[in-house]
Order: sequence, then structure tokens, then C-alpha cells
Amino acid sequence: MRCDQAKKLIPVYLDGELGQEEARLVKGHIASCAACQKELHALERSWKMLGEWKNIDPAPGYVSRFWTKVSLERPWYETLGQEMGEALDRLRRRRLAPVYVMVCVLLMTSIFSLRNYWQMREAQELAASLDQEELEMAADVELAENFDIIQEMDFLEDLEVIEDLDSLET
Amino acid sequence: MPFPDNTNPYLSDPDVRLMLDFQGGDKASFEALMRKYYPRLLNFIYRFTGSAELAEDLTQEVFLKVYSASTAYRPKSKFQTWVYTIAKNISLNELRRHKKTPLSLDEPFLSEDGPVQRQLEDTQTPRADEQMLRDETSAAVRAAINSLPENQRVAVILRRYEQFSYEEIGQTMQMSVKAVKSLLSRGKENLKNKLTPAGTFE
Repeated sequence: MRCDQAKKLIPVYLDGELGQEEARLVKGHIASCAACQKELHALERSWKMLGEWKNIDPAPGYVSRFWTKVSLERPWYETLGQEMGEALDRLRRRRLAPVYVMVCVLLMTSIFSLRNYWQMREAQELAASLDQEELEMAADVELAENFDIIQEMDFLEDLEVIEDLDSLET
Repeated sequence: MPFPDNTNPYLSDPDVRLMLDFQGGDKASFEALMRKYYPRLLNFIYRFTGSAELAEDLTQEVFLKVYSASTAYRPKSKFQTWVYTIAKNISLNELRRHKKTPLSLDEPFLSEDGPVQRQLEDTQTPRADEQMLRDETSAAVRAAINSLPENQRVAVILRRYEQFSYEEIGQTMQMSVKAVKSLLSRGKENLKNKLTPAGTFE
């Protein structure tokens, strides 16, 4: 293997990513070539130096900052829709079936008794309004009895007559 | 086989599983992915763009993208490959956008607020000289990586700091392993020339 060929392969050789045959050839060449040995060491050293550029830590609270961004970037109705969905999910996950049944039973019972109550009220009102009508009807009957006389009279002139209606009747 | 999807090889990737769980409505899975990948992507973007501040914004953007892609998500690669590809593209776009109003190249050396302060406090220790040398080395490394062409820079960072295999780099950068080999060879050679100029370290 020539030096220019080896030089091209050394960086990959250092990563252990050469095929078996190529790796064997490079290894053989380096063992007998001072220049390529130097090249290999320089590459190794500079690669190692990169480790001096240390990692940085994310600014704390990056998860919650993300969710805030999400809620700001989405229209309110989508957020609302999702929140309602999530609330429903939470309810569903809690196995509240017995509670639901209880609530349903309570609701049905109260609707039923309310209906009874209203029916009762209606009946009472009907009875009450009947009395009133009867009274009015009684008054009307009296008026009807005097109808002919009232029709005959001139209102202004016969004012005194009205006062004497009862006596006229007799 | 009851589900045709079972033939998808990427379903064995636990992170793909988490993504699918999130697709099914499990927010905790998304947060698990975030905790695992956020710090790594932050550092990847930080080294690629050279700015810690920008990296924080862009990493958030990567996860916004993952979030909005979740409804239509179909695993076509390992999760890691997918998310690093997104990070690479977002960073590239940002760098190109800044080319008109250049993101000053020396920014990485000025915006060291965090690390520099910590290092300054350390100067009281007897290792002050050693520390100063390390800071110089760190600055030289930044400059060297910053000077690499974009593709070489991505490959070098993925290999050196993210411990990606050549195959993983190829998948993330959408190129063959052969192309990765040549990219990394040139990148390493360039770094060697910048960091160990002939004779300096002999």
C-alpha cells in the first residue's frame, strides 16, 4: 500500500469502520511507515481534542416551556377541544360506572317526582279556576236574565231605571 | 400475522413505540421522548450553529415539528434518525436565513456566559493554568469545527459527540456509508490541519 492510499484510509481506520482486508493493509503499512504513523497520531490527537468542547445543559423548565409554546401556537378552540377530550378521558379511566348509575337513578327519580308535582299543581289550579268560572258564569246568568230590559233602555236617560232594575223585575 | 404493521422493522425501536403511544393520546410518552432527546439535540444544534441561545430556540422548534407531525406519523426509520434529520434541516435553514444578516462567526466565543463564569470561579484552584489551557483548546476546537463545510460539520459532530455509527450518520444525512466515509475522512483531515499544525505539537 502506498502512503497516499493509506492516508486516505487512516481516518476511517481509526473509527474501526474499514473492511477486514483494508484494515489489515493499513495496519501493515503504518507499522513500516514513520510518516503515516505521525499522521495517525496527529489525527488521533486532534480528534481527542474535540472533547474539550463540553456539553451545555438545557435551560431548566424546557418541557413546560414547550407546552406553553404549543398552546400559544394553536387556536383556542383546538386547545379547548383537546382539554375537554382529556377531561373525558380522565373520567373514563377512573372506572366511575357505579357513580354514573347512581347519578342516572337520582336524575330519573327527581324528574319523575317533579312531573308528579307539576301534575298535582295543574289539577289544583284547574280546580281553583273552575270555581272562579262558576262564579262568573253565575253572574252572567243573572245578566242574561235581565237582557231584554237592558237592551230596551237608553243608557243616559234611563239611568234611574237601572237603579230600579230589581224592582222592575218583580 | 394479525396486523400488517407487525412487519415494520422500526416498531422494535422503543422510541418509535413512545411516539406511537403519543399518537394514541399519551402525553407522558411525548415528555419521555423530550427528556431523552432534548439535551442531546440541544448540544447537536449548539455545536452545528455555534450559538447556545439559538440552539435552545431551535430545539424547541424541533419538538414542535415532532408534535405537529405526530397525527400523521408513520415509522419509516428509527426515531433517532428521524429527529436528528429534523434538527439538521431546521439548523441548516436557520443558518441560511442568517447568511444575509450573518450570525456573527465569533458569537460562539463571546456567548459563553454559562461556561465562562463557571470557569472563572474555578481560577482560584491550583489548576488555573491547566484550566486556561483547556479554555484555549476549547475555543480552538470551536473555531475549527465552525470552519468546516456544513456537511463535514454535521458528520463530525454526529460521530464525535453523538457517537453515531457510519450507518446512522448515512441514514440521518440521507447518503451512503461510502459517502459518509469520504466526508469524515476529509473532515478529520481538516480538523487535524487546524488543530495540530505541522510542528506545533511535536
